[in-house]
Amino acid sequence: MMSILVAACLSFLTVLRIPAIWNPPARPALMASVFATAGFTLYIEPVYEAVDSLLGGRNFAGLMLSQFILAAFLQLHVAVTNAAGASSRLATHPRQRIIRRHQVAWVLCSLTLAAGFAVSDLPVTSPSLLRTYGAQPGMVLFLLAASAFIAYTSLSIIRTVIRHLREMSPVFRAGFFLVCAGCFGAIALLAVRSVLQVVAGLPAQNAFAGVYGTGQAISVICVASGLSASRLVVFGRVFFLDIAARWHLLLVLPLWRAATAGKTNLVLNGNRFPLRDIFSSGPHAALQRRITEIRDCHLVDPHGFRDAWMTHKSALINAERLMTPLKTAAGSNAAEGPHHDR
Amino acid sequence: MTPISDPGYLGLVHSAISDLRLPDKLTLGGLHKVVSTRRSRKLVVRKTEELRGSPVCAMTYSNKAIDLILFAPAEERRREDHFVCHEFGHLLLGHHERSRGNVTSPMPLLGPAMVADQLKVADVGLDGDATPPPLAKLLGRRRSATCSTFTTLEEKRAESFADLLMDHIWRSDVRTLDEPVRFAEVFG
Repeated sequence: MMSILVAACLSFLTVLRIPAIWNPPARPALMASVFATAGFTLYIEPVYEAVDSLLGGRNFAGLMLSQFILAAFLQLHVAVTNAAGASSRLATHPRQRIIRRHQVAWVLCSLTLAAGFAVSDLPVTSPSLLRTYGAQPGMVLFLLAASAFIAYTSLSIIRTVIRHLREMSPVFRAGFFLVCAGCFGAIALLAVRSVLQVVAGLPAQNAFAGVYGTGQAISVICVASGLSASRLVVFGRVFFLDIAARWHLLLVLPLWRAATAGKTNLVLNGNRFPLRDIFSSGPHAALQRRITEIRDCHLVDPHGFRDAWMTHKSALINAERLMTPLKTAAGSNAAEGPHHDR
Repeated sequence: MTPISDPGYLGLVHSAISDLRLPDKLTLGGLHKVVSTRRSRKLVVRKTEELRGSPVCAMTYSNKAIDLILFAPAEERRREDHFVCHEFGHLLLGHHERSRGNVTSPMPLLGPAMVADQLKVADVGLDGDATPPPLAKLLGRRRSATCSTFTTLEEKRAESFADLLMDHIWRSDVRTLDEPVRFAEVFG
């Protein structure tokens, strides 16, 4: 159940990130999400068994799953290094060197992992590869290679993120706090599992396996949602403002009707039934138009609709507040423009 | 970009805006540069106290060297931005090259005199000649009930143009996180 939840969460976060296909700097984060989704989808038992039977039933699905996870961590490292490197004006060459060094580590770990897999005897399909075959030396090599790369990458990401924490906005800081928590969790789980593999007996290892699965799932969700925090914030903001614009259109309607009565020359599309705007695909543009028309009519004839004005003025002011750019509302100078040319 | 409605006159406005290839992240300052580059001349935008309470919210004068936009102070910054975007619409839709001016009737003397003053301040535009510009060359956004505000096609187009630009700026503001470093570009 937990693995289905993780795969579903990762799929949702990957879908949110799809527009990054057309944006090269954002592509590694998308690829990290795609690989993690593929890996954790394979982790779902029926999917694992179905894929493994297609591949010959010798647990090749387990090798694929591990390779997907390593690739996800590699892409995550590339994304973080690119973002942090550019922000600290790190020259392109040193940044490329760091990424290349990490790629070499990824190739070595992947080859070691594959070698460990190749020398192991894994005749029966088992999603819990290490629990079933963990005693074999090849599987110990497999585990060590995967754990070493994940731990190395996680530490590298944590170090980079902490170094640049001050430069981030609160949204990104919160997001990266989740990323670090997920990475720490992954490292801790790997460390405990590796220690148990060496010093504890099979019952202890089996008892930890359940904790490991759940902890790993939580770590992955932490990392993925942390990386998507900014996207989720924007998504939520757009959704909320869209609903709010429709609501404000409804609220300003009585004032708009009173203000524009008999003033067709001040209304752009005088023959339109404004209720349609509430269900239009662009409620903000429609609200902008209605506000402009009310203000124009009020300037021309300030006393003509006094009663409606007194009753519904607050609706207009609230609608205008909604349309005020966020950065202007926050008091920054982001909306600098020709107005300064006075 | 979302259409506010689909009357026939909007087609030209939509194609003019898509021709501009506006960036996703757009501010009025960025738009100012786009208009100036597109028109290949200096663009000066001035808030003008003399227009306060006049029948004209904003007006534009254009010659070969300069586009000058004068706008009235409004109770809200967003509304002033809308006046300016309306004038950008006139400039980018080529109304100055084709249309007769429409500010002459409400402001027969004050309009040209204000333009001449501002051109002198801008130190460009009249080739040393401080004569007020020809009345027929002033286009503006009017707010007088006696003026046929949105009954001409040019005014409707310029107003729709302003609406769509304001929507684009607003959307760009909502969809952009105020991130000082590149994290937004990579993870946003």
